[in-house]
Amino acid sequence: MKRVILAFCLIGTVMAYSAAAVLIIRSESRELIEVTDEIIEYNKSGDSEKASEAAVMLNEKWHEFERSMSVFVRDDKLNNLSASVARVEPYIQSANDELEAELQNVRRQLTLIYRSELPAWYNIL
Amino acid sequence: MAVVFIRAVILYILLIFSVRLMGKRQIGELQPSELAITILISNIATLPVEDTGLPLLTGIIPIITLACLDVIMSWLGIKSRIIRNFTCGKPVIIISNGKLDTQKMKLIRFTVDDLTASLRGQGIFDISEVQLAVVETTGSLSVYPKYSARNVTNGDLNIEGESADPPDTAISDGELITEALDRLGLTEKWVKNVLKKEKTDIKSVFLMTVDSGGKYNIIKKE
Repeated sequence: MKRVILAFCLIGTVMAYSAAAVLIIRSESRELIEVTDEIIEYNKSGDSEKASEAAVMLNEKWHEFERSMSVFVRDDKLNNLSASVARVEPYIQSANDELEAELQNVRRQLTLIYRSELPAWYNIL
Repeated sequence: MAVVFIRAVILYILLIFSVRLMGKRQIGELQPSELAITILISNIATLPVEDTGLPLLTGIIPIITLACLDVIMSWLGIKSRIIRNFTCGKPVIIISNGKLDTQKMKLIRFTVDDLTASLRGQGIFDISEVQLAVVETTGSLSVYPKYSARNVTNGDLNIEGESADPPDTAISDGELITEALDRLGLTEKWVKNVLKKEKTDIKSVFLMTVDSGGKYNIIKKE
């Protein structure tokens, strides 16, 4: 009977952990998406100084996010996103045309990371 | 490399824990559901060790889940015959009243070669000696021989005697096994007295077996 109780406890822990992982990824990715949106706004209004400050913040937040996400998410997904985030600041400084495309890419990949962790039918099947 | 090493150690500990959680039954006789889980767990365990890009938890979570589900399904199987039949299947009688049921054999895809090999494994070389044969859920064959082919027992010969447990290990490699003494209703003092009589001590004994009647056998260390 001890084993059965232990099995139920472990299953409960795994379920709680899985739910917590989804919530953590959602809150952290939302934070990063908000910063990305800010950069898009500043870029559209031509305020490159504030866009640069936001890009630094994006980089810092990304490093924290990457460390905690590596427990839940495959490395290759994070590496792709890491490369995109690293390009943002140099693109702002050089006023590169591809800045908005890169930011949209960061946004999209963050959404995909969150979506891939959702226990939805398209992920399960 | 250090990452792979640490991951392998963690998964090794986890696998031992999982197999222990599933119980001793897992090692001795594999039911169909247990076989499936064992294969799955051994495959899953290799993935995060080989691919360091995969989070370790993608290996740990399914292993824990499968081991726990196995324990829970076994527990439910005790409570419900329907669940037991679903996870383990039912034993199938292929020889009844000395008559071979070929339809049942076809149904479970049990060939004549399988049958004769299993019978030979039990020391039966003539199928006409079999009264009843059952293919168990583990795939093994249980055989009940005809009256004429059965071994003579003490009961048949009216030889009277008491049933007693076989001898148990009291000392193993210089170490006293107190659990065995408790089972036999003996004490450490009794063992020490016996050893004193044999002019030896616990540390000098390689193996000592004792039965419930106090009859012992001692093999000393060389």
